[in-house]
Amino acid sequence: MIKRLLRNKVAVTGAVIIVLMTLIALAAPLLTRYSPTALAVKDRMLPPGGAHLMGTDEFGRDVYARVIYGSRLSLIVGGATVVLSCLIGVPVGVAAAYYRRVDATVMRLMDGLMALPGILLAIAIMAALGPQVGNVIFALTVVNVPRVARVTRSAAIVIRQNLYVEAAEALGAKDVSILWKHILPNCLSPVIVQATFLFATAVLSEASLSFLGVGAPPDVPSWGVVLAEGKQFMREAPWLTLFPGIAIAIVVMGLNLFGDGLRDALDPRLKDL
Amino acid sequence: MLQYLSRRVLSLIPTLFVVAVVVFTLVHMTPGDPAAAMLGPEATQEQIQKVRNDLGLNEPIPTQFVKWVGRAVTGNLGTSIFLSQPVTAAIGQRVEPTGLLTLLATVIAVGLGVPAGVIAASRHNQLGDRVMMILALLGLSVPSFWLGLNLILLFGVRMPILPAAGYTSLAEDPLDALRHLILPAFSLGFAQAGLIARMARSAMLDVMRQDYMRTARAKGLAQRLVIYRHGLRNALIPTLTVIGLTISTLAGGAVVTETVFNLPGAGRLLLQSVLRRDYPVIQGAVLCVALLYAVVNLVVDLAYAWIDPRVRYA
Repeated sequence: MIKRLLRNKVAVTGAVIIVLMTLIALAAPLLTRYSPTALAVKDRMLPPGGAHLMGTDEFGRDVYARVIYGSRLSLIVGGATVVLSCLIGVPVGVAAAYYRRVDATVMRLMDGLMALPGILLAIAIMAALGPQVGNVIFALTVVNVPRVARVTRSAAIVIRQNLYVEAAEALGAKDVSILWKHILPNCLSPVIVQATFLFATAVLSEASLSFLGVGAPPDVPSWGVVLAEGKQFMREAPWLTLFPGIAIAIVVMGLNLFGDGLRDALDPRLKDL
Repeated sequence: MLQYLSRRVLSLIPTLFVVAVVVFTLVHMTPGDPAAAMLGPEATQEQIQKVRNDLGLNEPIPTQFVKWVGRAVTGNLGTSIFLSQPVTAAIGQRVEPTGLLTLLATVIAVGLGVPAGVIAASRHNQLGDRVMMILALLGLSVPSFWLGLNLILLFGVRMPILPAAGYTSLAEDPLDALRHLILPAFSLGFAQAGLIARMARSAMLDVMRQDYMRTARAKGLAQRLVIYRHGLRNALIPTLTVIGLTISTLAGGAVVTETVFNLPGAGRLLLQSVLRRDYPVIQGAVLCVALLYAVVNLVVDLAYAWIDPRVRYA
């Protein structure tokens, strides 16, 4: 599988982008001598070039530093959302595929949550909880758990009809062991692919929420926050919105490319689809 | 068909019930007293008590829920705390720009997405395919609000050919209303166009492998005829589902786009209500979108069943 993945140009391109972005996020303090939050009033609104590669904002903060440090928040929120959504969504999906009662109750709940556009549900949750990074992760997890559960459930339903599951049942294996050893490992590929796309959506959603003022608090250098501040000065200082926007697009594109490649490598039958 | 219809309508009830529970819970998820949160730090104890009474927050939670659902079913979504007007009226006044924006964005998403997908599939693995799929990937990756900001800068400021913000109502000047919506609709619809293009391409490729396509080609039909008459029609069925989902995503995305373009729509009302913690409006607006989603999905499913009889008997 790994070999197939490495031969897939799309997946490799995506992976390179993601690895680079992660390295940038980790090594942020090494890549710039400016702090993303330090004010320098005499250096305000400098165009890109010279000491400030991407210019400065209305408080003289270095845009390059803000973009680089912003990648930390995006990747943390995206990563945490995906991990939590899978930790909850996968067991729910597997259980729903195996137990009729769980299917009837829990999946109705999931359908109800999915009946709202993700961004709207996230905004509504943020309205109740207030702008905090932890709350953004919570809101996006609530949005994404049903999506993971649904994908897992449909994969697990196919798997449970296999003969080896029936054999395990006939041999008197316990439910937990059947779910854990036989069903779960075999339905992970579509979940992994889905998780990659969810990561991309989570990065976009975090940026949108922060842009609207209901995501990360204003003192955190999030790409959405930087864009929202830059919006007011877009005419005079277009660099304030240009660079964070490009950064979001690159990360999301990397994740989408990796997801596409991963899907082809995990299930060659789906190639071109 | 009638049986399918009734089954499908009945299946909406549990879904909408869950939505109602979620929407109702939102207020109670607020840490501390929701009434105090709504009124802000300067509110007096008396004002807080009054809002608590008005919203029925002093009653037990199950009683509150039953009463709230009872009112919502009859179309009474309560009164906005900030605007001091019924929530339904507040939303009703602002629904025109949101509705038109969603509609126009859907037209753009479908109008760009379906042809792009068909072109890509008919030139599978050639230059045209690659170009279309790169465009679609861009659509999926570029944040819609950022695209909107750049469109404002480009067509509203640098080359001022379209209005960059605001709205004229349809009754006042229909043409000007449309002009105000072109940039927002494009920035909102572009991402969905990417999604639809990918779906249409994969559905088309799937259809093109079918035997009846080979037969059509073998009997000497022109390639164009094969693609449009035999291919597209069948490929549209799975694409239709994505289009249905698109409409609700666009309605949600309208919150962001209306904020970027200063459109006085229901989406912006929702965001303003979030920022001033006007819970009745938040609940009402979210409930309306859920209802819209349910209805759109119902229509899509019915269209699906009408096009493809196999669905009806499944």
